[in-house]
Amino acid sequence: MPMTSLISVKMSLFVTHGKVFVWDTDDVMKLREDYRIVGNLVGSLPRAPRQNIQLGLPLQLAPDEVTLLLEKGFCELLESVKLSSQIDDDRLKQFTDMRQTSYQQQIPLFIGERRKEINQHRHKIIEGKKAKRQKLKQDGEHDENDEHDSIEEREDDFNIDDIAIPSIKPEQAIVQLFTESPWKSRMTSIHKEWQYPESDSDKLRYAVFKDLWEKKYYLTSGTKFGGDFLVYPGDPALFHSFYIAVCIPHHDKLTALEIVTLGRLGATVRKTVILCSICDNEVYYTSLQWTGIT
Amino acid sequence: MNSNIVLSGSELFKNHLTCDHSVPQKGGSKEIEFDGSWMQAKRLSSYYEERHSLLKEQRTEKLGNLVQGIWNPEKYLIEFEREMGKFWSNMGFVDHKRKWLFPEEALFLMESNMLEVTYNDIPLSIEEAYNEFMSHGINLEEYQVYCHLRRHGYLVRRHQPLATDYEVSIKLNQHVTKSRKRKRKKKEMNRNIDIVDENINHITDGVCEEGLSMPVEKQRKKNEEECDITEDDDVDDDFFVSSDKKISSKTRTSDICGFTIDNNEEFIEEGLICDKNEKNQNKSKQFNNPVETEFDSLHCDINKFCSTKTSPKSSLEQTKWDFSKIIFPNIANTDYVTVNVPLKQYLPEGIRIEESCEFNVLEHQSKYSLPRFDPVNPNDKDLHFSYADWVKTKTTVSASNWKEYKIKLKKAQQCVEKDSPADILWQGEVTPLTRPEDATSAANILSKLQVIQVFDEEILKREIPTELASSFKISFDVFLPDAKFKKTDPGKPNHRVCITRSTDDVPNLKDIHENTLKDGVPVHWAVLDNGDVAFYSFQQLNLPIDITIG
Repeated sequence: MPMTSLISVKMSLFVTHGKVFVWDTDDVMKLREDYRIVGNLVGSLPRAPRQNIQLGLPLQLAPDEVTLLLEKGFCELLESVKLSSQIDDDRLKQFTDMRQTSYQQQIPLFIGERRKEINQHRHKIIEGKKAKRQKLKQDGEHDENDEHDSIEEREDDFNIDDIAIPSIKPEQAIVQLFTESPWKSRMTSIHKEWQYPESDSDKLRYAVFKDLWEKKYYLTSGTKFGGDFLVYPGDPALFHSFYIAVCIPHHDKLTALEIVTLGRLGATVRKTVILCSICDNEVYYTSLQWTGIT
Repeated sequence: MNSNIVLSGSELFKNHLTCDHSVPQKGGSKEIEFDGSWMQAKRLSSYYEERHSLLKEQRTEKLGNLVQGIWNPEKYLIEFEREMGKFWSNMGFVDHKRKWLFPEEALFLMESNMLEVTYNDIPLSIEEAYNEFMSHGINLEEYQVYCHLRRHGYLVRRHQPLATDYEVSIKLNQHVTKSRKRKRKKKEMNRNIDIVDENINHITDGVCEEGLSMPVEKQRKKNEEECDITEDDDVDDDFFVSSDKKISSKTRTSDICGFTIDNNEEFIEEGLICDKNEKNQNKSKQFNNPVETEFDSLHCDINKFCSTKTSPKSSLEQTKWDFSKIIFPNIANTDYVTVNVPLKQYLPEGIRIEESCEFNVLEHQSKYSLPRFDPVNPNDKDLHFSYADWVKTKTTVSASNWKEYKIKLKKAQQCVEKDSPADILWQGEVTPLTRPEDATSAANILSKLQVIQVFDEEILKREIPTELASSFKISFDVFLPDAKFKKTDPGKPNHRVCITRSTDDVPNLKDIHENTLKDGVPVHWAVLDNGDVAFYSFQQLNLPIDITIG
């Protein structure tokens, strides 16, 4: 079941050089499940960074999506502050402490692992030791009696459990490479003015986006299909899109060639092309259907 | 610190131990209709759960496996000391004995869990790196394309203009690479990194510098410090003659542009390092007078030769040739030509010549001259001339001035026309492009009709783009993954990439042609759409000309 949030804490969107990213995993999930905002994952996946099939955080949002989220009040827009050149002693201390405690915590865990491994292979180890001593005996002198041997054998059992396992060195500790910045709660952020949409074509685009979103559709970018948006009845991961939305100013002239292009395109990919325009603050949708004359 | 994302020691340990490296498969059939059924809801929720657990995973790695780098905000580069890992062979560069990585390279390595970049001793998170690195020289879009290609496995470098064919044929590129390395060897007192600036300028200028000309203005007078030979640089040490301050005995002659230059004091390079043994010697030399680095520019750029400080005159005075004694014979308007015997010292050994040689010009010409153009001669059929076939059938008229020529030509043409039944066509103002006598073959007629020449590769190569006036600049050179890739001499890239946004204009044909630099490497246009990358490329196509053998 999709998560419903009763808490009205706003999600944070971060602006980096004009592009908007979401870094928090829960926020990313919430955007998709609750708010039908799809976005694009653009980072390398931590568990398999050298492939392009599945990417990881951060999620990049389109300008239309950002404006919508801000308008509806679901998110706030932040801009991160540049790293200062002054050494923040407090932060440094926190960090080194964290690493140190993490290292200390890991030492017994490593030792535990090692011991487990040894116990798993104890038979092999004992056999190996015996064989070694046999070899030494044969090479060495023969004045040891059997009694001595049995004592040694009993000592073997002790030795297995008492094998000294050295602590791991600091370099062998596992550390975390942060994707999301861990200092955010203390970082001062600036709320930035978001300027999109500005031009007429952008405004048209945004109005169409918003209208379709309010009709409960999922929307993604349509450039791969020659349009502005792809319109899905449900989550894009599970459903095919129905419509290719092309935004055209209401009074623009369309040539016959353009209509044929769009019609053909829609027919080939089995989606309906809808021409979206605004007249008197209302969005009009015109669909194209490619038929023959029978 | 945000405790939500910081993993404790035990969590880290468990995480790393049980890390599953499989990628969830994408695919499977999609639903056709949204019907709000329980099945669909179940499918959706399981998809969301899987996604959540996948995205929630943190990056963990053994501390010893990570290379440590230091972020330098002034130069926008990452420096690191120990090199480990397999990436050094195809990423980064060395400058002043320090190893540097470009920001996009470093960020990619961070995302691949191989590098940790610290600033003020605290490692940067990827979010912080995104904010910091993407300002100078590389922007987010370029980084996304870089990442995309690297994840596929390609080797991607920033775009470097290559040597043109001419420069390769005169082996200029070898000289320049060496002098580039020489320049790197000279260190400044205050560690100003010029090469780094030049690299950055290369990219941000957006101007493709043809050839390997080093702008002389960018060279500054440098003082000597230590030399900078590392094992990575393949420096051919024997190439340079070592010289010290009081050079005069060791002269350097080099032939450039036919001039012979003896070493003036101004040309002398001070403290050039020959081999590593002399490294220590040179270390102690703290030169007060600045090194004249103009000599570098001579090697680098023939065009700039004439504008060097020393006038050619003074160098000519010191040439080995004495032109007052060398006589060129006069071979015009005489029947007999006398040539003096050249001085014996200039002749190769074992050649003997008589006292003076006399040539009969006409005899000589008839023996050695090329066959003249004879339009009527049928022997010409098998020869390939550079002019088109139909030129042969032109009427040749001899006249002594233009007016006479035109009159005679017209008359000659009229004579020809009278014979043909199609001569009515030439009576009006608009005349046909071809004549009946041009119909020697179909190819012939077609070549005569080609008023507009077909654009092909040859024409493209002839044009020299002085400056990429188009707004599209090439960002990256892409190489196929190759174990033998050497980053100091990568060779010709397999592809080049130019980056645009989906909201930008489509490049016009002029841009497309200009962008394909002369060496025929295909240029791919990466179109970005909020994180989605798609590649498009344009190919030159020559339509075949249909010629039926006629």
